[in-house]
Amino acid sequence: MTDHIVSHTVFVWFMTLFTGLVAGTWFVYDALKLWWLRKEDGRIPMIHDKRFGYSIGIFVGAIGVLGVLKYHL
Amino acid sequence: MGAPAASAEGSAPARVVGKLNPANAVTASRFLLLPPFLWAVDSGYHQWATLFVLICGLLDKVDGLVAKIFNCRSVFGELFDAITDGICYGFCLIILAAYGWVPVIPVIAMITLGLANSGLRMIYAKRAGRATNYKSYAMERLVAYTAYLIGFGTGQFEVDFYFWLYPPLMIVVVLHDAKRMLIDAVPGANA
Repeated sequence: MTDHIVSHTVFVWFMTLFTGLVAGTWFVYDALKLWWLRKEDGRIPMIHDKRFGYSIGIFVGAIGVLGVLKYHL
Repeated sequence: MGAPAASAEGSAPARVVGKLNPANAVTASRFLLLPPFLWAVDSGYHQWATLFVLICGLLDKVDGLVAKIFNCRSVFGELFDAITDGICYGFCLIILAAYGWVPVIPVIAMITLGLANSGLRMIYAKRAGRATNYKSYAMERLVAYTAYLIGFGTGQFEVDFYFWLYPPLMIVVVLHDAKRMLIDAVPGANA
């Protein structure tokens, strides 16, 4: 048994694409959800929670994409 | 018939389901991945460890899907899923830190904050007077981030960058959720 299921290059590109695609999609998806809530009343607790959660999601998505770029640049 | 399952803020249906159901079986099956994960890390097999983490993360998504297909969503299922997340991800993080694959301080911060969050949820359930789970949209995203962190740790992919950015984000979310669970009114709380 060895560590190599695939070559190191394939592994790195798998990590890159998987992370980049998921994080990028996540960023856009939560940004859209936040945008759709813009006219809702923020004093309603659930709306407030959603806005906060989607903002965190946007931040997490951005971190994911930045990490991938940092690895390759 | 017992009281129907009910949860805070409309996150679960008002339907009684047994604890032994397909969705909970999928959730429980995630524990089976912990021994192989430990073996992979102990052997220094980064790719195998990443594969086991990936399967664990995938099963976390599949259990929700199975619950929808078999119509067996329940408050217990939600709590069991959250507990399983905590145990599986906590175990993986501790193992990775113990073997020096990831920095220790962010892992300690994550686990401490995770435990604090679990304590807050217990207090929230006590305030509500029933088994309930506070639905935190922000914490859901951080839990997904945690799964990713383990993958970054096993794959040695920008480990420091991803790990050191996590604790500040979690502090903000735990503080926000603490206010919601400890101070704000609980929907439908028993008098």
